[in-house]
Amino acid sequence: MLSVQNVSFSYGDVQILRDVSLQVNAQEWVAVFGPNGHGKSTLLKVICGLLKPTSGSVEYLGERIDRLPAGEIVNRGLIYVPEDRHLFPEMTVIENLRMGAYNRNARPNESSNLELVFRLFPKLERLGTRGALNLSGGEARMLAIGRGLMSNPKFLAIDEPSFGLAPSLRKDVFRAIDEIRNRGNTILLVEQSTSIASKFVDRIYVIEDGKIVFEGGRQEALSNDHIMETYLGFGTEDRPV
Amino acid sequence: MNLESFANMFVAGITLGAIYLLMAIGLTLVFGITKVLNYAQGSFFTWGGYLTWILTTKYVQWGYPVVIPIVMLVAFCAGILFERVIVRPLRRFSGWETTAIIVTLGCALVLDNLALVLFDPLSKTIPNLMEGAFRFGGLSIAKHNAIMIVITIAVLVLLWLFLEKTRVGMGLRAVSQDITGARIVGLPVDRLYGYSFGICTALAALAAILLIPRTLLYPLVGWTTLLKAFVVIVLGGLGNIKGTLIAAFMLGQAEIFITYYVGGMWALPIFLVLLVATLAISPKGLFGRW
Repeated sequence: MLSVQNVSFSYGDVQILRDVSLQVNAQEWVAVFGPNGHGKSTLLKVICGLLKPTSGSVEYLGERIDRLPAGEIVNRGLIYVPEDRHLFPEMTVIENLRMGAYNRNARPNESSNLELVFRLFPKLERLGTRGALNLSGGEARMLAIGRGLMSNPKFLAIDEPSFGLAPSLRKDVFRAIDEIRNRGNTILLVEQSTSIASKFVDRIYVIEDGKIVFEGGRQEALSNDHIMETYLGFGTEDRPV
Repeated sequence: MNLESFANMFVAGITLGAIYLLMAIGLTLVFGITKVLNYAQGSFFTWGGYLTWILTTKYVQWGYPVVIPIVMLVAFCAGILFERVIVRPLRRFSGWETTAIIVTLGCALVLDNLALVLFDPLSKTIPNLMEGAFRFGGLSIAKHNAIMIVITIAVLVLLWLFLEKTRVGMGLRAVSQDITGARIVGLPVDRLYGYSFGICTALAALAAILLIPRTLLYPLVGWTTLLKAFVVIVLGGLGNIKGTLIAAFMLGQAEIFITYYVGGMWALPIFLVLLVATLAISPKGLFGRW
């Protein structure tokens, strides 16, 4: 469904991504793990069109999208949920969600998508007229994902959804993402902390210093001691099963 | 001063405040949404005045019910064109916000001088919206002033409803609050930038239609109003609509009373001194928040 081919990206002289390639198949949940500052977020921004790759290409549904404006990519159902949320602070929860449905393909489904968001995150319904500025970290995260769902996604690219959340909340967020996937969506997730996420995902990439250093199924990654210890920070005892 | 003339001056202050508000809201809107400090706004005011003069006095004598919508529509389109042709190409360069200030200033000079060449430097007049006055006991309000207040309130309410309730209006607010968030949800950012300029120029043209009948029309007429609108938005706190509202009416009142006691020519200098003093004490303006 999504195919990133030999993508490199530099900010001025600093090279962030080096020749990155990855595939995501329809209805798969793929995770990119790796330490902070090694290009995970940049990769997602290139995929969703906020940044243009220095070289390489991004194909989505058989079509090159790396030269398209961000709005066109949103229209095709590839939706980015940023780690730093980028909510509209002086708008209410509902207004933020409605902004998610601005693009022309999402508009007809606005009310059914809103129902879905409220079913996944009942708390957002209760917070309806609260200003986005006054949300807790967990609520803001839910709103960011909810706003992404309002854009009628086929493919969600989610950046660190569990960052800064209490462990119980993290599990809720991942369960919600799992349900979104089970409804026929494809998920590309970027995470630094892997313990919960690795229970849900189908395939794993590990990125280090802008390069893909590992690629494989979930079991393969979990049974690879080197990968687990070096990149994911697990010892042999506390490894998730 | 007796109560009657005090009341009259108070009403005059409100009308003046309403004009500054129209200009200041336009400036604030464009600045909040596109980050451009639009120096050409005063020239759009001037040109709104000349277009009104053409349609009411010079070539045809149409009534205001026809002229106001035409002038505002033309101004709206001119604003969109201005953004598309002049401002948008600048955004590709880093540090373009500063460039945009200089470029809009340059456009203002071109527009002013074009007016000078086309319409000569002699002052023109355009008719009042309506002649005569309403009388309530001892208090008389010029019909022009009364209509001016009504139109301003109506336009501001419509603008508020547009920004709060419509999809495009919400999009404009979203762009001003988080431009990256706006791109992420796929808002048509360029088009929304264009609308904000269109609204800004349409408000400037309306301000000209309302104010110029009370003064005169000449090629540099927009500058005084623009400078006063600058004082309003800075005092009110850049991007703060409520602060802008209060500051506009405060300065409107202040100008009338300054004119009464020390003379109209002192209004702008006193404003600028007030501005400098305020900024020295409270750099974000009286109601500041950025």
